Amino acid sequence: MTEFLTALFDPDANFIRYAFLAGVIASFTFGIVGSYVVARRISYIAASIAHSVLGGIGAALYFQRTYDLPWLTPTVGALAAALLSALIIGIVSLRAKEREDTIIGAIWAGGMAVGLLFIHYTPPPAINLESYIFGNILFTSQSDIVITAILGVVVVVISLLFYNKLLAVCFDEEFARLRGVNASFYYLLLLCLIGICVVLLVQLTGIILAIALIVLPAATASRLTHRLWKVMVIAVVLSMICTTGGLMLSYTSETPTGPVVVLIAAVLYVISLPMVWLKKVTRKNH
Amino acid sequence: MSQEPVIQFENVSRNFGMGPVLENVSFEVTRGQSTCLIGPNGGGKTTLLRLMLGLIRPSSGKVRIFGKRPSRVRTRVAYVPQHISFDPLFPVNALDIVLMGRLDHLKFGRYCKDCKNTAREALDEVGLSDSAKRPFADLSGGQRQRVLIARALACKPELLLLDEPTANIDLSVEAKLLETLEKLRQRMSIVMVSHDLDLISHITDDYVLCVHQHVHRHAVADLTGDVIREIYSSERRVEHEKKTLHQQGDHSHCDH
Repeated sequence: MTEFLTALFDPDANFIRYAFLAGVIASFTFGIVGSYVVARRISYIAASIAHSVLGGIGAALYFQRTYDLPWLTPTVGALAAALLSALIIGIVSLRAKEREDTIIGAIWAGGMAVGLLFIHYTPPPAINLESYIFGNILFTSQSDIVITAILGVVVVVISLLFYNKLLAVCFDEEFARLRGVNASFYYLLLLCLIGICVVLLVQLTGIILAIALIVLPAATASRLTHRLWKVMVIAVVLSMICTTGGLMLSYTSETPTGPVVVLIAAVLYVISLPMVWLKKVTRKNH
Repeated sequence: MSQEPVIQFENVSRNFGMGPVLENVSFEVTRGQSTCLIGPNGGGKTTLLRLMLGLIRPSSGKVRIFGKRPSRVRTRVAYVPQHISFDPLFPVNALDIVLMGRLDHLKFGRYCKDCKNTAREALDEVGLSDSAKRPFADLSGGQRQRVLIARALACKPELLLLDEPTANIDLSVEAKLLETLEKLRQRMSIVMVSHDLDLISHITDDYVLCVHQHVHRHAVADLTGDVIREIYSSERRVEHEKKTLHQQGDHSHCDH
């Protein structure tokens, strides 16, 4: 603990400070978007978008190096792929409900396949695929924090500004439409927010573990309270506990950060499982 | 003025892939009237409701609500779906759901004080004012259904459409619901889909619409056993008879 705090305030150990900041700032995004995902039960869509991001990362790296386009960073590619996947899944599921699971599977595996092919043909130096698949928060740079903060503000502002409409669309899309709300637009907007959230997570926990940090804190929170905005507040705090705790534990025990963060989230979720039962028992006794 | 049509169907047909679900349907519901849609499963009752809501368009013919296209008068119509089609664990309380009836009155994305008052009045009307803060998950089936009715009332509709509001509700709760509906029909037109023939007399003492690809009017007084047998499959009829026996105090057929 003290070792970690010393490192956090050490002027020479920027990487720890950046990692800590990225985790704390991004927690707002995970907590809020995750709450919508859990409430609407679309974690499999989030997982599909997360995996398809590799396609964008691979394409960005390939074109960046082949055509010398320095602005086309992996983050730009990931963001484009995430938004594109979100829109494709959203439009297909709105138009043809019964084909939703098929398109989710196609985007999931297809995105990864495209990414692996692009990475195979990308000119050297060799790409560290592992850092995208499993993430490495300790590689966070100053510009990553700026991007995290900007995307985080976008997600938080949109989620809060349209809270009531998104809540209504998640609960009962048809009724929202009958009240004059453009339900399809808000559903697509929600999927795009999930896309942005996934991109932020790739840096932190990598593609494979991303879904855990979207779903687990919000799932834990929704066992503790029954109103969406309260779920969001608790989920944000839990995400901060997971990212900061994970960073601290992995720093002191010299283990990879992503898996530790995810394990903390999973443990908190398991602890929350008997809570509902306990609540019921205490209520009966009163 | 009282004869102004609330709902007008003129030669309406609606096809879904295989063939017509509704064929050449014409009828009118005038202001102040309420009616029920009865008929077997798959007969087209829900399709008829969805046409009235403008959620689907007719393949041919004309649907008019208050003399206009359904999609243009949606704010004057409210709809109560069946409570079982909702995720009971969704993180909302009763008031949150009823407030959704005021979705078209959001100011800067927030519900104003008037909206909250309207929602509380609606909850009061269905006898759930004490349950405003209770989670949707903790409510019984009947209470959930009444929350959905309150949400529809919060829309302040002139026409209320209900899709089988008493399905999966026990009889004691059903009685409360009927009381509410009977009160409501004094001030708005109600069209209700129901398999439950007991309910009809509480909504209308005039006529019902029997939906089975075509739509026929039956006077309530003419709903004799023979007519009912014609309309319903044997399965439904048995269910209805069981329910009637149950109300009369004969529980020999009950499962419990």
